[in-house]
Amino acid sequence: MSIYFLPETKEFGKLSITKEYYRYDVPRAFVAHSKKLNKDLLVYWADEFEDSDTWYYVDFSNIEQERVENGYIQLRDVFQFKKIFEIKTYFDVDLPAEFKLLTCEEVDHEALPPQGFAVKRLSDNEYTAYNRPLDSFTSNNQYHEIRLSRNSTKKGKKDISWSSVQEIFGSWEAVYRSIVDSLDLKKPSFQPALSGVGSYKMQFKAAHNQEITSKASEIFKTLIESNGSLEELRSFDIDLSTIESLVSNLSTYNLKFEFRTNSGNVLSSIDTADLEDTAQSLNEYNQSRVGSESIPQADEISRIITFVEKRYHGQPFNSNTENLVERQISYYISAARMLGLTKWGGQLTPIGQKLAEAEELKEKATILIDLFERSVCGWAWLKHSNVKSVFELNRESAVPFLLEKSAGLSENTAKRRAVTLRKWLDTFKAYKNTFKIQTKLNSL
Amino acid sequence: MSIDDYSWPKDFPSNVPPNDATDANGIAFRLVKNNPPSDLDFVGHNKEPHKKKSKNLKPADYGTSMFRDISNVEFARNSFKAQRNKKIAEGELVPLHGKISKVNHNNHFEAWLREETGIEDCFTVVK
Repeated sequence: MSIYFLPETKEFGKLSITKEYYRYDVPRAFVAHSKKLNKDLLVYWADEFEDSDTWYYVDFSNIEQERVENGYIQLRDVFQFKKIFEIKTYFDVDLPAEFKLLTCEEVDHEALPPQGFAVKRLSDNEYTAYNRPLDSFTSNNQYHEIRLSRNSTKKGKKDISWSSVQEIFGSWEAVYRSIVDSLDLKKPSFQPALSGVGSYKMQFKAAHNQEITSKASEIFKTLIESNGSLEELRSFDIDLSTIESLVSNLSTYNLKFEFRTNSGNVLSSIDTADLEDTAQSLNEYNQSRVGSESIPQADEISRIITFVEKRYHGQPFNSNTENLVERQISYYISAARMLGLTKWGGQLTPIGQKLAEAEELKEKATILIDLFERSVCGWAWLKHSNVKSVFELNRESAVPFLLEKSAGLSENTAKRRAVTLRKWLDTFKAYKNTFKIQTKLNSL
Repeated sequence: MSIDDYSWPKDFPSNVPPNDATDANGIAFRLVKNNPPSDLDFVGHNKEPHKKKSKNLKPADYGTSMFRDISNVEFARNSFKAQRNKKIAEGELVPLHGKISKVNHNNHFEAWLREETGIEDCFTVVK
């Protein structure tokens, strides 16, 4: 005979309470161990009826338990992106418990632990629950986590190199930006927030984190199951070159990539050993396309010049000095890199220095026109239009060019990106005569 | 009537109330459905009217939860959907009502209540 609040079910088998977080008459928030599944479950009292109670059950890993009991996260965060099981237990223990896997729509959010519900470990087997302000938690549902580990097939415990970490986190940022584009989100701030010392896990704080996390886990699930086919991945309307970059970096450094919620719940685990066919398909697909990172989003050419000049003089260029939002600042920095004015590390290249030292605007414009024509995007546009110089490009061809040649931009995104290309073209065309004279002079 | 005239619920095993329990006393807060509170508001889950066939219960599972401080009973109310429409009742316990456990860090304690002591009349809804 089971205890009324701790049912024996076909799915979970016999349960035993390992930790009691909160009690009111009986345990109301607790950890139950299923011997049958060899795992822990978080149990929370969901509702009460005349003859029964209902309880929400979710998987509860050791990492999550640590984070909850150390006060790092609130209890509610554990329920994010989880399968939630509802078990109805009758006070009359002769009646069998009813077990149900809830759909997203069936989850009663009022029945989850309220915002601020925190747990504290008082001793080895004693816990308490209390209410805390939301901003007092180290991490919350605006955070997601990336964790890198060596593939288990690799023997030995070599350290993971910092350069691989940089590259892979950089790849993740590119995937993230591409998802932001596809969802057409406003003000999508994204920043590294918390990093575990001595391990390669990092939490990122992101605006719209829930939407992005949901889409990213769908994308990764599709990637893992892709089996060499890109058909479903293409339907996500994201830049597939960012996925290729992530997969190839993981493969190069032989690392496993885990995408987790802030509570530590693993949403996706990418092991590139299973993705060889897909990596090849991605490479073939992207070869004929212009990646998102090569398409400028910095509307005003003059600000690129300002950035390069400020870099040359060691002056700051940020959201305060330029009166722009962080996202736009990153557009100008990316545009300068895309044109070859700066290196990946941010230092000016020789041509960047030349631009900074050029005294006249028309001289700077000439350099920029030349660089754009040689850039991945500029060159692809010239080829697509079958012309030899930017001055022959038709501004109206920007959208069809991006739709045809970009790696996975949707029509809406392509239209937005085309605005930048058209603005650049208009600016360049104003210097048409200067450019021609300069080119002639250079050829003498 | 003396204390001995008020019996313990028949389902209490021999270790309930536990030996270290002390006589009920002092101010206590509990969530109740009824205003004024009824005797059913003081029924813990493992007592009548429900069947009592559960095994492996701890003495605490036979108790009725109470708090010494109103802020802690408010937390109990806010934390669970089933409690949010309940009222906070305040009362003063006396030894006749039964035995109580030590107060823990949450100002929570278990009260093992004797039957038909009229405890509900000692409590009034305050919030």
